[in-house]
Amino acid sequence: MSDIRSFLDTVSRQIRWKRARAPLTVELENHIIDRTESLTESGISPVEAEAQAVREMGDPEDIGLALDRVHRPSPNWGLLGCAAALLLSGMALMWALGDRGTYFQPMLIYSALGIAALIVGYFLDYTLLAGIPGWGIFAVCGVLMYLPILGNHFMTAAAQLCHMLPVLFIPLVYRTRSGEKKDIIVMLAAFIACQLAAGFSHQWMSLSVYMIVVCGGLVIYAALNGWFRKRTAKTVFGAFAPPAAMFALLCTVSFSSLERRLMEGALFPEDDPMGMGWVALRVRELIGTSQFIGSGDTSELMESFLQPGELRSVNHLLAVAVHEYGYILLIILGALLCAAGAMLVRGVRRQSCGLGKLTMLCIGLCFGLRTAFYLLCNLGFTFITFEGIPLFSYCGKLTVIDMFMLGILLSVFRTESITRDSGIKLRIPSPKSHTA
Amino acid sequence: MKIDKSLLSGSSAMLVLKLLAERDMYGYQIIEELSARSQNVFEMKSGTLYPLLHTLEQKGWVSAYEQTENGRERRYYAITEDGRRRLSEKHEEWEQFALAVQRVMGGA
Repeated sequence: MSDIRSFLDTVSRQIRWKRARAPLTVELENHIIDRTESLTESGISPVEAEAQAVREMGDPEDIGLALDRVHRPSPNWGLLGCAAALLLSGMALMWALGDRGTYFQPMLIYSALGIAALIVGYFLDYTLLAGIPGWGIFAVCGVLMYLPILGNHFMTAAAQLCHMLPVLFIPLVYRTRSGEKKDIIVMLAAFIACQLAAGFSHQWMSLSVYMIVVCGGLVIYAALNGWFRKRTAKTVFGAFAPPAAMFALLCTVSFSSLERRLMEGALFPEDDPMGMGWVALRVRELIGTSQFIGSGDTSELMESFLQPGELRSVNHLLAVAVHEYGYILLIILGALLCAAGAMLVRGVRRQSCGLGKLTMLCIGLCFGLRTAFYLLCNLGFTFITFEGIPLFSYCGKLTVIDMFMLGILLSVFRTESITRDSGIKLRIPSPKSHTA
Repeated sequence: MKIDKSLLSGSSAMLVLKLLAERDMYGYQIIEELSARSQNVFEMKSGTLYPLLHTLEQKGWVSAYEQTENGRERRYYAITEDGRRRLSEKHEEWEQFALAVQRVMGGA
């Protein structure tokens, strides 16, 4: 065994985190090679130069132990703490104010399954995303377009699974770093496929907006980083134009008169106070009559709104809770969400790996968009109904998907010190071609 | 003249940040530059440098990126804004320390 290999193996054995060994020893190897070349240029024989270069590195065990002390995998406790606080407070509010019989027990079960999914996501190597073949997202979109035909149960499942599509979109955006036209075309086609899958859903309006914002956000990130080279303007236009056109077409064709009246009721509730505007006005009344701390006044109209059911327990539980306990609850929730958001933004800025940045941005946008619309909905501005705040609201089986995505996010934080763009395999090697 | 290691260990971060404040460098370059600028007084071992660089990266004082040169991928380090602030603080600390030492030793 050569001196270099023996040296690096000794260093590597001291580093307990196995995933960190390769990226750390590559750097040391490059250092030895540089020093060997410098010594060889000064007239020393290559064999002696290599031996001297290795000697000059120092004790490999000491180096390995020092690197082991620096590189210990640990979760982002702050983000995990915010997530735990959101989950527990959501469950506490559901217990205290929600329809226990219908929603609390499922919430417990999905949360328990979600914790298992979070653990799986956390220990997963998120860089495997880069190896997902391009046709994968098209296959998934095809399945999601077919499922609604099978019945209501499958329709709901398809809508929930659609929330994960942007995660499958990540590797296609990441591959455009190559600057090759075909990678850009595949990405644009995938964006359209995601929009089609959203369009086939019964929640087509919210999911269409979701895809445009999240997938579009990733495209904009890639554009700002110059990944599309000279094709930036055309690519951005090509990314947004078809989905926006599809959304406009769906709004024109699929908007039934009932949906139109619901939208008008959400936008101008005062025009139909006892009809389509009733819910929005009751929610605004709940918020408007709340105290800073303690229970607010309740009118007769509010009493009927506050009856057990989906309105109280799912869509507007936050508004009910603010009315019951005061604005202080909103302030605390806002502080938690801002803290989580700040940690995520800081994480994106610190992350040196492009795939890691994309993954953080994607999951951040997914959660952020739903949070923003849920908050608007609970302030009485229900333009589009999204699934609730991840972990906090009752979201049914989507909670399991949300927690899996949170696990992936925590995985990105965990490995930020060792993940390199250079070490990520972009394509699964095939017998016909080997690409880096 | 061989310098006591303990004199260097407290200043290593400041010296590395100073070099990176001037330009981005990879590990081998930092060691060579440090040795050259100090006229071989500071001969930092790679076993000291790399854990230090990774610690600085974790603290957010430096950032790292890969760049290919002559077919080889090298990991370059760049100072961040937080790093520049920290360098400024360390430099001020060092100047006060050096002045205090000079006052004591100058009187001996």
